[in-house]
This record gives sequence, C-alpha cells and structure tokens, in this order.
Amino acid sequence: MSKLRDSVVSTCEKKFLLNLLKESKRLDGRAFNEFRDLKIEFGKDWGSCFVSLGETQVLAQVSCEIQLPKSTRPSEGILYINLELNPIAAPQFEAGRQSDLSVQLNRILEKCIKDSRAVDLESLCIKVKEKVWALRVDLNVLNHEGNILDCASVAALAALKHFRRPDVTCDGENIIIHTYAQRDTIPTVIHHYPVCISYAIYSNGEIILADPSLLEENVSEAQLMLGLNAYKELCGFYLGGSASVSADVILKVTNRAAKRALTVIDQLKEAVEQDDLKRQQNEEIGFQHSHSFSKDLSQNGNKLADILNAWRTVPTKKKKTEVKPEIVEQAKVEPIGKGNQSAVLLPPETENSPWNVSSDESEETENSTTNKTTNQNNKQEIMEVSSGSDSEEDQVIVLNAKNKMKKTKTKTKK
Amino acid sequence: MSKKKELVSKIGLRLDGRRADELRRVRCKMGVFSQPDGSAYIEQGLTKVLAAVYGPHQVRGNRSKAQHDSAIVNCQFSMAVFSTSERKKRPRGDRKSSEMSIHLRQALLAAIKVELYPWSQIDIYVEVLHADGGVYPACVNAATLALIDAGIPLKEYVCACSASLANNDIPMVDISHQEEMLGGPTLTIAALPMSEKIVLMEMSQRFHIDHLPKVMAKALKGCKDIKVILDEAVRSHVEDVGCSTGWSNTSQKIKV
Repeated sequence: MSKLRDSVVSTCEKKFLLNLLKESKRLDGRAFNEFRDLKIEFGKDWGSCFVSLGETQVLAQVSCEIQLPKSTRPSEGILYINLELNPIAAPQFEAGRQSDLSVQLNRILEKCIKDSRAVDLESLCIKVKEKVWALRVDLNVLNHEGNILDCASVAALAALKHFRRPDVTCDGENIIIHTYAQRDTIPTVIHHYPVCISYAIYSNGEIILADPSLLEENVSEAQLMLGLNAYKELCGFYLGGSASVSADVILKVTNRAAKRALTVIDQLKEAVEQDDLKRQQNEEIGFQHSHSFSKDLSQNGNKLADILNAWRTVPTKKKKTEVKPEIVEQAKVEPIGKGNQSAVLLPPETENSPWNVSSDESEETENSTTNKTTNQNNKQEIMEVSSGSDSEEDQVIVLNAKNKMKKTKTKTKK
Repeated sequence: MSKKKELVSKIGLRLDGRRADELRRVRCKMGVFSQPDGSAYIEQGLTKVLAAVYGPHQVRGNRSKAQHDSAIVNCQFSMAVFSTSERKKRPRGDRKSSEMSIHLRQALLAAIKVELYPWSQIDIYVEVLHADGGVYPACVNAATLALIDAGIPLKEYVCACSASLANNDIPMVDISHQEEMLGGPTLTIAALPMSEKIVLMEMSQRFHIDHLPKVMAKALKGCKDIKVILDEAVRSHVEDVGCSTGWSNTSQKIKV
C-alpha cells in the first residue's frame, strides 16, 4: 500500500474513474491539463488571505514578532510556514496529530518557499545578532477537495505579499515599534513567487492529470508536485508513489507547468493590487464582502428549493384527504392508477421508461413519492399507525395485510 | 562566504579531487547483525549508513492495519546524534526524519513484492552514523542491500543517487556535504536502474528547468553505476555465505 492517506475509496468509484480515464474523460469534465478556478480574496487584516481552488479552500494568515536570530544566520530574519490539516477540512484528518500527508505538505512548502529564498530575510533584520523580525505564515485548510498544496502555496505567497509589518526605528539602545497610525507599514520584500503545481499519475506514467480532485488523488498511483516561479526556475520537486515514471514524461510535464505558473503568479499579483486599490479608495474590504462566502450559500438555497418543490410530499396526519394541487401542476405528473390501496405518481414518460410500473405494483424507488389517495381504507390504516407519534417526520411503514405484495411507505420531509 | 570557491575547478576537479561524473568510493557489507533478518552497512565516501530489516512477520501493534492483499512496509529513519559536525539531539518524530522515512518507504515500496505476503509486516530501520552529503541515497542503497540479505523478493534493485549543477553549467554526481552547502540545488533520484523508471525524485533550492534534463540524466547514470557496485557486493556475499555452508548440492561456483 503506497497510499499516504487514510481515506477509503470504494472499489466501484475507483474502477469508474479508471475506466473514464481510459476514455480520456475526467469526472468533472475538465481536460487532462485543465486547472480548476482559482479565487484569491483578502481579509481586513494585512496578511490575511483566502484562496479557493475549485472546492478546496485554504486560509492564510501572516503575523510577525521580534525574536533572536539564529546563531548560524545572525543578520537574517526568520520565516515560519505551518500548514495545519484539521478535521474541518476532511473527516480523516485528526486534530493535533501530524499525519504523513501533513508532514509531506509542510516539507514541500518549506523547501519551495524557504529554501529557495523567495522572501528577502535580510530586510527583516533590526539589529544584527540581537533582534530580527520573525514572520509566521499559518495556513489552515478549510475544505479538502484535492490538491491542497497548490492552494496552500498560493495562499502563503499572497498572504506574504499582502502583509505589512510595522516600521521600527532604532536609536542606539532602544528599539521603537511604530503603530500603524504613526508610520506607514512596510510590505515584505519577495524576490520571486514559487507556486506549487500538482499532477496525479496513472498507469505507470501514461496518464497525467493536472490539479487532481480528491477522488482522483486517492485513486492515483503517484503524485508529482512541482514548485515553479515566473522565471521558469524549479524551486521544489517531488515525485512519489507506486508508479514509475520515465524521464522524458517528467520533462514534458515540467514545461507545461511552467506556463501555468506564469498565469497563477499574474493572477496573484493582480489580486493583491486590486485589494490595495480598494484600501486606498477606502472601499469596503474584508471577507464579508467576498463572493466565495456569500454566493455559494445562496446558490445552494436555490437548488434546494427547486428540488423540494418538485418532490414535496403531503404529511400523513392532517391533510390526508387533499392532494395539494400545486405539486401536481409543478411536477406535471399524472397518477397512473388508483387502486384500492394506493396511487403511484410517475412522470409522464414513454412506455419504454424503466421506471414505469403497472398499476398493480406500488413498490417505490427512493426518488418517487407517493401521494395518499382519498381511499378511506387506507386512511384508517394509516391513522392507526401514526396516532402514536406527533412528529410529522416519523417514517411510517404500512404493510397491507390484504395484499402480501404491497408496501406503502410514507415519508414526510421538512 | 566562500561562494568564490568553484565547485569544479578549471582542470575539472572537484573539491575532493573527483571528476564531475565520478561517484565516491562505495564500500558495503551485508549480514552485519545477527538479530535482524537482514542487515547491511554502506559507506559512500564519508557517509556511513546502517540498515536492518525485520520481516516478513506478523503485524505488530495495530492489527487493524493488516491488509488482506499485501504486506505493510514500515520504515524508520534516524540519524545518530554524533552523525553531523555539531552534536544534535534529534527527537524521533521531527519533520525531517518523518519526511525521510516517508520517502524511503515510497522508494522501497516500488520494488518490494508486497503482494506475496498478505497479513504481514516488513520493518526497515535505517540509522545514519556519519552524514556527509548524499544521506538519502545512501539510506536507500543500504535498505536495498538489507532487503536482499533478508531474502525478501524484489522486482529490481532500488538505487538512489544525487546530482547537482556546478558553475551553472557542469552537472556533478554524488554530492558531498560541502558541495551541498556551497553550491546550488541538489536533485536526488531513486530509480529502478534496469527498467530506467524513476520511483522518487526530489529537489532542494532552485534552478532553471533548462538544466533539468542534464542533471536528471547524470543522476540516472549514477543510479546505474551504483547498481553495478551493489550487485557485485551481493554476489560476493552470496559466494562467501554459500562457501561456508558447502553450497548444498551445487557443484558449480557462481560466476560473477
């Protein structure tokens, strides 16, 4: 088992995905080298950034503190990058425990951003060997839908670029940190932007997918993670898994990734500039005005309302005698047969529809709903059963004593 | 800083007198311990690594981790406190050790035939006695030898090698610690040399992607050279062991 993740993938999901890949298709309809939408938003505080790549969401926050420098590098500031995988992101993550995936992602981010010297640490020095600024980037994964690394790297870089530290003056002995009101804050100096780009590899290097979603990641044989900057320099590289890849495939992928890196970096810089403009013009800033947080919810609400309108059932207790006319009109369904026991409402399909049932059967699938008829017999039986509970959410199963074959289920949804 | 020192001088010699495409001297020995099922010791230049393999045996600890179709491979990497120039107490669970363990496991999983041992566990322990650059490659090579010594079936040798770029132009193979510190980026590749498949590749610092092909090629060639050396060591070890047990029934000596 070469899987670093503990999440379980069912065999049918895996097979389905692999079969689709053989037909050159992806589950969400993307092309093999297509990336999901990248959205970058900033909060009210300097250095607070929210990035979403498709459904994967990462929140970054940069903070600064004055510390003693490292003894080996007395004139440089310190940069800490910490990525946390908490259960909020996915159920298989455990709070507090550093899983394999967390170690790996942290190390790649460290190598990519710290070891490649993307942030100018010498500008963070206040007094050699005594006091330096220590920048801390805390990344929190809010939702894990595959490819945390890409999202996290963009979030970290955007947050670092957005961040401003207070100005300090040193007069011999004392060091004075000025507040934001007293003196303008200083932005971080970033030399280059090493963004990470990930690929999932299948069939021993034959199929390579860019920006894998969660399921694609879990099913993949190997992962390729590249850190590239705008100057086509490789800042981090990781290839691992149980597939063995040949060298020329890697080179081809690296070249494609370089192009992607350019677009991402441009988007990042633009987003920071936009936010800067907003602040200068005293426009409203912050997450509450961002699209990601408000738009999704309202979309969900609309979808839910549509579904409910189409398939609403009548509650069992009080309104048994009437069938709500609106439902019938909206759904444009017709009762096929009204037997002694029940009626089945089905959409007016052709005769060849697999869901067609004869009027004898009242067997249901999960998608169909039953409406109560005006049949007195039925009413009485149902009343007997449901008199015990007041809740309309109870599932009431009525087994007809008269006809062994038939079963009616009532479900009330709220 | 001593960045002025050229990693490859004008006459083509490196800081330790090697040429750009020469490996450091490799010495290895198998069967160094009596308790583990397989063990090996490898020296690559001044880097010294010990590896021990236990298994396949019943799954210890968490029984629920056992798998019905393959063995679990458990790798642990640790550096001795005296292995670097400064004595450093290394807590076992720190990030770098965990990362190395994970990478080791991934590299070896590509070669071990785990499907032959369902419901079992194979433990691989690697201890670095002296770290002088190329620690990860040495660990992979030592682990391969230890696995062979333990008799665990492998698809192929897993060999690893590091490579770098000197003077922004000349690719070098098998990087020592000094070259790592002074010089530029280091590319480490673990590969199956005979089928030319790369199992794990990682890089530190940064360099231009135009240089990637030649550094990769250099590292792969290094892997192939190491495989030849390891193969020789394995065959001579088998000869030694076989001779002392009388070769059972064979009357033919194994030809190297």
